[in-house]
Amino acid sequence: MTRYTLFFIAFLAYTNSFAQSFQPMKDSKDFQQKLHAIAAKTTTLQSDFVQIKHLDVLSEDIESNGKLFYKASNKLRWEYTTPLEYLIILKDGKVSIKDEGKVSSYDLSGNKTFQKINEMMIGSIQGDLLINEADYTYEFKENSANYLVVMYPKQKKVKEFMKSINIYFSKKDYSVEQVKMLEQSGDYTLMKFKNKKTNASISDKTFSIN
Amino acid sequence: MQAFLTKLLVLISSCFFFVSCTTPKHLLPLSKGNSTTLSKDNFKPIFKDNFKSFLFKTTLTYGDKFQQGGLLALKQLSEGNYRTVFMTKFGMTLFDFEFGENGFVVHKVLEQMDRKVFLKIIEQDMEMLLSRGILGNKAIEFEKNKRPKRKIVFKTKLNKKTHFFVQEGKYKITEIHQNRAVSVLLSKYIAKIPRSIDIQHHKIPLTMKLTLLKH
Repeated sequence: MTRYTLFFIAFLAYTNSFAQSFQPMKDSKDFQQKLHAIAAKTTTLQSDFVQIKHLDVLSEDIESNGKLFYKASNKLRWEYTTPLEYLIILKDGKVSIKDEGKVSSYDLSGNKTFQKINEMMIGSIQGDLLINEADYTYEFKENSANYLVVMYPKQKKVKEFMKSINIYFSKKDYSVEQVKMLEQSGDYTLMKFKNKKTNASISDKTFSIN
Repeated sequence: MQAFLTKLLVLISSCFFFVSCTTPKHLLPLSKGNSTTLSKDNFKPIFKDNFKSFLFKTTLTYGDKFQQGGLLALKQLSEGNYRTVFMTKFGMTLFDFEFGENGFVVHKVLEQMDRKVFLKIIEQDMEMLLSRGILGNKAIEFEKNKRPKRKIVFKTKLNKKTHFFVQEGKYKITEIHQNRAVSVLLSKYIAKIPRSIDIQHHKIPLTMKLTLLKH
C-alpha cells in the first residue's frame, strides 16, 4: 500500500523553479476555465519526463527518466526507463505494476486509497486537480511565459513532509511544463516534461502491462 | 497504508521476540581463539575507507507480504561520518539517517516507519555495511570448519558492545547479534566495488537488495 500512496504523493510532485519572478495572477478564474476547457478537449497526451531529486546533503542531484502516456478518459501509462525500470498502468478500474519483471495487479473498486490515487492522477492530467480545495489552498501566479499554481497541503500528515506543490503551465498551450514538490527541509523533487504531444494516436496496446 | 505498515512491523517484532529466545548455536562450540587486530589483511570491509557517494537501486522485502523499491543514496560526509537517504522511485524521501561521531541521527523518517524495531534494524544493517570504526580494533579470531567450508569468526567490541562477525570467503559476511543474525552477500565486483549487495536476515524473511547505479 505504501508504494501506491507514495506514488500518489510523488505524482503531484513535479516541479521547477523558473528564475523569472512571478506576480499574482490577474484573472485566476479565467485561467481555470481555459485550463478545464483544454483538458476536456484532450483525448490523448504523451510526454517524456525527467525527474530530479535534490537533496541538500548530496553534491549531485539524482536524475531519473521516463515516459508517460494518457488516453481519455481513464488510461495511463507511467514508465521509468533509467536508471531503473518501473512501470505503472492505470486502466479500466485496475492498477498494474511491473517491477523487476514482477507484475502485480489490483482492483480499484474495492480500495479507497487506489480510487483516490486514480482520481488524482487522472485529475492532474485533465486539469481537475485545481479544484481540490478540501485538501489544498491555492496561490495563482504568472510571469510572461508561465502560469504558476502553488498548492499548499491542509492535512497535517501531508504537511509534515511536503511544503508545497508548484505546477508550472505554459502560457502558449496551458500544458504542464514542470512540477515541483518542495519538502519542509528544502529538498525537492522536480519533474520536467518535454517532447509533449497532445491528441496524437496512441495504441491501446500501450496500456498493456506485458 | 498505516495499518499495513503497522502489521508489517508487528510481524517483524514478533519474529524478534521468538528469535531472541534462541542463541546463535551454530557458532558453538568455538575453538580457542587467537588475539588479533582487525585489518584489511584479515577482515575485508565492504567499501573502501574513503568514498564520495553511492547510489543504489534498492528493494526492501518482507517475505511475500511487503515490498518497497526505491533508491538509496549513501554519502561519506567526512571520515567516519555518513549520511544515507532512502527514497521511492518517485522521489519521496522515506528515511534520512546519519551515522558518525554523533551516533545514529534520524534526520527524517516517514511516520509509518518511525518504529524503534525498524530503526534499529536499519541502523545495524547500515553500520554493518559501513564497518565503521572496525579496522584497527582488537579482536579474537576463531576458526570453524576446515576448507572448503572454513569460516573465520571474529569477536570484537564496537561502541561498547560485543559483535561477532563470520567471514566466509571474500564475498559473505554474517553478523551475529545477541538475538538475530544478518548476512551480507557481495557480488559483481567492478573496480573493487560490489555492484550487488544482498542483506539477508536469518530466521525472518527480511531482505534488502542493493544494486549499484552510480558512484
